[in-house]
Amino acid sequence: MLRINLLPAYVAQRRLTARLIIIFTVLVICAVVGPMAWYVTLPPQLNDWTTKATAAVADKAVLDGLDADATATTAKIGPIQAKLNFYDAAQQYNLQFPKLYRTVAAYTAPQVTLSSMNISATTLTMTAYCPSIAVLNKYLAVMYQEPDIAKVSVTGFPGYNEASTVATHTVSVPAGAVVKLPGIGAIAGLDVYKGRVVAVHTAAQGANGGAGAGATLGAGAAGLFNPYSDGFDFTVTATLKQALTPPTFAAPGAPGGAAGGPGGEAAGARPGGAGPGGGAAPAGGASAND
Amino acid sequence: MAKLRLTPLIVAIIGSVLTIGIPVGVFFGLIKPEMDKIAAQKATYDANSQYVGPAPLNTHKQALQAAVNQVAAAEARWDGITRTKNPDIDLSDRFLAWRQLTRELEFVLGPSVEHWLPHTGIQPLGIIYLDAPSPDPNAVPPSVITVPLRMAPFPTASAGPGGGGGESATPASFSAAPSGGGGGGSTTGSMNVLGTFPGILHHIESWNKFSRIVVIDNVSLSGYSPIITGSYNATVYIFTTNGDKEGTPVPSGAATTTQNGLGH
Repeated sequence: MLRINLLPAYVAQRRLTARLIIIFTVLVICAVVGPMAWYVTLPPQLNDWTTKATAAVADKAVLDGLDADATATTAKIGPIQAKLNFYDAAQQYNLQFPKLYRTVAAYTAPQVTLSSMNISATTLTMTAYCPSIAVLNKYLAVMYQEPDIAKVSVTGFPGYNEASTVATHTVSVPAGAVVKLPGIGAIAGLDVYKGRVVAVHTAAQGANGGAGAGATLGAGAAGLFNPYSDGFDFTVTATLKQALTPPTFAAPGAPGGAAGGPGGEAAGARPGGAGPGGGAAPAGGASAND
Repeated sequence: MAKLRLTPLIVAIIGSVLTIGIPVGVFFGLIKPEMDKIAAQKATYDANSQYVGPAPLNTHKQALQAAVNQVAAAEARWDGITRTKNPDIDLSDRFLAWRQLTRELEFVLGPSVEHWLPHTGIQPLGIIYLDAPSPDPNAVPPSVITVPLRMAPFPTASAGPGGGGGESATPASFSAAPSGGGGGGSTTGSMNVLGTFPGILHHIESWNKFSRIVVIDNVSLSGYSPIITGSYNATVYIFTTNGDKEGTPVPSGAATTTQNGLGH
């Protein structure tokens, strides 16, 4: 059936306009209410996060304060620790020479008689008597293994038919000291020849050598060196692996860091270069000096 | 004036503009600034969240306590050392410090060494002598004073029987005695002792038990047992206190001299 609308067009238009007004009114209301509702929830969130952030910042400030206190406290230890380090280094360094000398003596063959030991920087110099070339060979073989020594060399032993180097060594009791031997009493000195005491000078005979009673050999030994039967005096020069350097003390904050010399404030508190720990003593035995 | 006629198109346009414009305006005008503020606070919290809570606080408190304990332990150890091995030289009063140093060198250190040496298994081969401190109280070093121990041969009589030990040496002959690296104005003296090989080494080690802080260096041995001579350098270290709070300089007219590190 054909539908015929005889109403004028403006009627439908008015009806459409009204409907659109209602629709858009609802939409506008929703467009206002929705965002506003969302907006209303934001300030509480902001307050919440602001509170948390403020508390976190405050906690950090507290911890930073504790860190600063710890740093300041630790800084106080600097001057004291420098002194303690120096003290420990000094205590340790004072043991280095005896330790080194004992180790060297332990690595010295018992037939070899040492008469002097001296250390200068990294060089250890010793004078000794050796009864034969064979003993010297053994001595060197053992000394090469001494843990504190990097290099060893010997000088002074004579060649075949060269003049003998053995001499009588006289050691005298220095003025003001008293040395007594059992059965003899106070002595003034000893004559040592080929590593053995050959004469004892009693106090009545005075000091500084001179053949005393009982001396069987004079000073020196004449003759040519016989490598099969003669001994010789020789010198050992050894290079230490580490130099023995005494510790020095510098007040914290003093300029320069190198080790200074003694006297007043020096730079650089550091432990002395200790000799390496001695290894097991070989079968060479101790020095015959004792 | 012609009356505005609301056509559906106009209503639609106005409605659309309002429907879109109002939320957009509210969003950018109100909501976004708030959201930005929230984001900023959240970022601040995230950056500092590691510091929140009891765990970090306890950790830092423990670290502080550990530092305090470390300092206390170091101070206690050093106090113990100075109580037994260091005289009191207080630089907060310069004249007092100079008097304390003078007393230490003239009446304490020298006699202590002389009394102690024979009890360490060796025989000293001379008498101990120490240089006097500078006559200027302002010259006392602010931190550490080094005192080389020197040894001079026993005064010998110019005539008479026997060996050494005579008391008739004149001061001139005595003061000229040091040799062998021990005198002549050198900054380190040379101690000479007599004993056996183990005895001398034990004596060197015994310096660690002496009542002052001493450094031993350049030890050399010569001779045959039991007549072995040991030579070494011994330097005493004396630590002053209040070096950072030195007192007012005294009006000393003495020339400031450097004597073995005992002056500036």
